[in-house]
Amino acid sequence: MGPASHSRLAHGFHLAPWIATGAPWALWLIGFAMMTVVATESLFRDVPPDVAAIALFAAYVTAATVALLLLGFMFLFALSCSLMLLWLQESLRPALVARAVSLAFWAMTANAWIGALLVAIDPPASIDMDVFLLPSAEEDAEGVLGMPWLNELRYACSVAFAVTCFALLARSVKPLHALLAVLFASATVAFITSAIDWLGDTGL
Amino acid sequence: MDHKSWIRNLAIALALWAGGAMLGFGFTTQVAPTSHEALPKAAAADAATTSGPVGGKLYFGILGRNLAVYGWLLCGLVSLGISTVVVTLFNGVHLGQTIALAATAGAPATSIARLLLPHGVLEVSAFLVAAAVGILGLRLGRAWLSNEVRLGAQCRQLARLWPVASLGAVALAFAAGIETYVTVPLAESRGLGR
Repeated sequence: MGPASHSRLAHGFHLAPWIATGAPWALWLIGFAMMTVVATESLFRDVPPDVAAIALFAAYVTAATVALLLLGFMFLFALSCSLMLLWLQESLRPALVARAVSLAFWAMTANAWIGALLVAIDPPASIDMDVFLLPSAEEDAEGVLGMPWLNELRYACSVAFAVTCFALLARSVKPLHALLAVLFASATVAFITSAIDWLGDTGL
Repeated sequence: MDHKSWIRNLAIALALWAGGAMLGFGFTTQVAPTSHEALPKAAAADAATTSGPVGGKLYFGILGRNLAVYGWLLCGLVSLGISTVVVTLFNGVHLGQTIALAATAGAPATSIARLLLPHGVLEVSAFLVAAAVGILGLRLGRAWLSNEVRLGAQCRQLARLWPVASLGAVALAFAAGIETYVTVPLAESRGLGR
């Protein structure tokens, strides 16, 4: 085995950049769609058909909204990282930050596929529409939907996303700067989502 | 933002919102149960109830939820316009669904219009203006990704839109007042619940 083939083996095969950065998004979309379909159909299986039709429509519209908002906040994360790096006087091209965020998005893809797997193994019980429409104040979405792992899985994958993003950025900039950029971006996204949620829950 | 951009963005926002409303209305009228017996007990009870928060608590509840939607719409500025497009569509679908459910439950169109229009005109106008501003996020995102030096200038240009954004929030405060002190008592007097 010559040095050239050894080098190829050591580096693995190279994918075109657009495939490498686009793959996690495409696979996430498929995983998220599978998880949504299995969970939703299972939740509304015992609901009368005419009520279920409206509930399913509302559930799919909500799921699509949540999915697209996640994409929007990924952009905000990348933008915040870039602004922090700019402030720290790092001359990193925004496209490289976007690429790091795209590659770190594998963590979210894992979130969607693990979720789909867990829902397929143990589908949530059919929902009582009365409980669904008038949930008690103490019960959160996890409890109502009967998926107790939902938040924990999301938190674990979000941490994995941030760590991966840091590791990828640290290859191009000083590790401390990469850490500060990821922390700033995480704080920005957390602040904006929490503030809007607080308003929506009428904490005003 | 120049005059032409305002008109274009408002037209896009209106098209998204109206498209969502038609989708929600069209789908729900096709599948909605035609009798109240088919509705879940909780939904029927909720529609019939006249109890719940009143006065200041109701006002701040409505205002908080509307400001949250307003916030999501403006977030389009920093999310490539995605949150704006999604929330405008979602809002339209939700409104279309609500109108369709009220219509299939037998509420006359004039009653629905009387309940929705007084606060709806202000509320939807504020949302559409916020959406028109949020859509600019796409331009900002493109400038950022292409590493344009004009990014800073564009940010400063956007910052000048703060009076419009503030005006929208004020309009929502008025709309919440109308909804609390005009729409809800009107709905209760007609036995339509909330």
